[in-house]
Amino acid sequence: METIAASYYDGKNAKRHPVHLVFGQNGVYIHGHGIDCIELYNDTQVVEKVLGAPRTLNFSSGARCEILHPDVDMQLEQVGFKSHWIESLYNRKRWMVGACLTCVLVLILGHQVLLPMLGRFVAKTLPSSLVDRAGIDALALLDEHMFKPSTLPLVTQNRLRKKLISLQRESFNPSVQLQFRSSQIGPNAFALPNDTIVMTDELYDLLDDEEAVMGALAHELGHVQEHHLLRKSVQTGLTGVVTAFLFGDTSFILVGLSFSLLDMSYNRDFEREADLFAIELFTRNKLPLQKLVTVHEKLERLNHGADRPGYLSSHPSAQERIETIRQAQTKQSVEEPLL
Amino acid sequence: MQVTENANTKDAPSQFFFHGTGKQFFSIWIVNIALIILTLGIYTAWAKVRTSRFFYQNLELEGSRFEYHATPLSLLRGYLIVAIFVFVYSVLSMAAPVLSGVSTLAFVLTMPWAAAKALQFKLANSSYRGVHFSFNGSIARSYFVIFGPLLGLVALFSVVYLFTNRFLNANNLLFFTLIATSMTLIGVFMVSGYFLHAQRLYVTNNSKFGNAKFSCHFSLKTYSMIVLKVVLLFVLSVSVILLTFAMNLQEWYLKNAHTGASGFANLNTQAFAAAIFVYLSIVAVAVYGWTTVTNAVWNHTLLADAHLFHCEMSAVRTVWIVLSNLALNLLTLGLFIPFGKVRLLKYRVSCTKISIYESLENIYAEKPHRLVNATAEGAADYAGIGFAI
Repeated sequence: METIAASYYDGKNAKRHPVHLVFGQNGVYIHGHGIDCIELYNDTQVVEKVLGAPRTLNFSSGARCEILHPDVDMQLEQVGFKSHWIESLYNRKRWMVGACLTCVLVLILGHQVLLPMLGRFVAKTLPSSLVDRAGIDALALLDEHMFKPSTLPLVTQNRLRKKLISLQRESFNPSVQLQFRSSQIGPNAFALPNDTIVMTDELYDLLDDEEAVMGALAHELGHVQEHHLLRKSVQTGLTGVVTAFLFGDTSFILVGLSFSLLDMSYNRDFEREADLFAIELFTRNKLPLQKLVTVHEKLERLNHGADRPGYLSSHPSAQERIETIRQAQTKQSVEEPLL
Repeated sequence: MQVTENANTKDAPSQFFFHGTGKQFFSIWIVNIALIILTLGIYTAWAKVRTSRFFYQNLELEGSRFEYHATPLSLLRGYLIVAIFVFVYSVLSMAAPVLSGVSTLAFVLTMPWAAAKALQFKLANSSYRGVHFSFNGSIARSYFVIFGPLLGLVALFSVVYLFTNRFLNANNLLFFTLIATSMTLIGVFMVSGYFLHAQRLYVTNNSKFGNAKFSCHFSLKTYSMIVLKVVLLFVLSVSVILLTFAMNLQEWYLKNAHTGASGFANLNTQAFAAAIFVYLSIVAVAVYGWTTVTNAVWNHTLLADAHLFHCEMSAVRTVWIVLSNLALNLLTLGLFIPFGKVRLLKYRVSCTKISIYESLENIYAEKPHRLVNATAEGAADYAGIGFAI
């Protein structure tokens, strides 16, 4: 075997000795620059190859060698130092491409399929009473800062409450409460973690039609019955962990951006699910689906021109949602031609 | 303290080199991520060691490379402990919020200990030419330099708050807002200047290479001047942006006040743009600050009171590298990250030199006299705590 140039360090001081190595049967001969010794292979640890760096040999005597020679890998293998199979994962191009594809696939699969599955699982197994406190506290906070008592007559409120109960029919959920408030935030309705649905007087006034109001409430009921808040926290929380892990030590803006986009896509999915729930509920109760369209049309008119492109928005576009209802209406008229 | 040139100093300072390429690091990075995902996170310790080895062994000085000795299993212990803690904390925060607050507090209280131990572990596992580095800063001092600024800032904000509560009213709003803001800024400047300087000195003056001590002769005065410049630059850039935004805001208000909600969309875009500009200026000013401080610190750092370091990074160039890295990271959905890291490191190393007095041969290895705690390194690394070097 040919001699190989290397740098030798005795481990006692920071002096570099340029030496020559010859790999023998049982050990390596080191000579040059005042050094003349043999280190047995039994006393030698070959450090894993690092891309771009010299090969390093650590000896149990505390000394070490750095070898930049291109043939060193081959010679080491010839005398019996085999490289770990994991090295080829890092050094062969095919595995790098494979790793790329794996990451992309797993991340997409995780986002589209696995996380939603986990969300549904948690919603099924976790008792909802765990998050009730959050709902009560949230409403108290809103009442303190943004809400005033409703100006709707109690008669109207109770009528709407009764209608909501009858809407649910057999799948009646006794923990659902309907609360009314007046607020500067404008027309709005939303669901809280403790299954309370809150509606503003401004929404009632805007819609001006109690069947349309029931449409909005049916949508919110969808959020409650499908446990969207809980599923959303699981999915969004884990999305946050993954984006923080991938981009965290590089830049916050990457984390923030990717997290927001992914979170908004989940939000849109939940909104679509709630829309479908409302359609189904109205169909079962034989209520006109056109009223659901009215809700979206009136709200759209209020926010006209404010829609951002699909992927930058937390809700599906009004057109898409109205289109979904129209398709249901078409299906309905096909199935019940006599109506 | 000045190191005077004499006949025994080498002709020119020795240059540090970084030999690794972005392409090489990319394959390490992407295979690491794939394996971490496939092993549900357990591979992280091995990935961390491999990455550290890549960066250490590609760093060269005077024909020799650096080396990293930590083993994955020792890091893994620390990671597991933190993972368990995070899990327990999540469960607690849902069921018993009070307990989770207590555990957070306990965790925070261990941070300075963990950071010091992690540094000790890291340096003990770093070597050059077979001689190991070491760190033996006292834990007490670690608490002082880390909690000192936090307590200082809390005290500052309490004082400002009490002050504004007592004196602020509708009549003197503008005047006292200015006073309060100035008080805050000056206070932040003083507190952060003092403690950041103390942290740097704590890290450097307690580190050794073999039997050779590192020492930092970087005065508080110089440091404070840099911090002052950074704070002023930051205030200036943010004010410019907000003023521009405020002018647009006024324009928008006059045009859109009557249409109500529909105007909000335009406002959102404006606010979004303003936020982007504020973020970019924060990054630029922070990088400027980091470059200037790093240069100054290393230019005043000595090894064995004889070998002098040099660092001359250009703030402009570094800001450009950081911002273009960011843009490329966004455009490539993150795939450029490893390339960007190597790019920045290569630049920094290319600006770093050391004037060696005679030679480094006189430095000899020392036996480590304290047990190094790998658990702390793992835990601190996982939780993102650490002293900047």
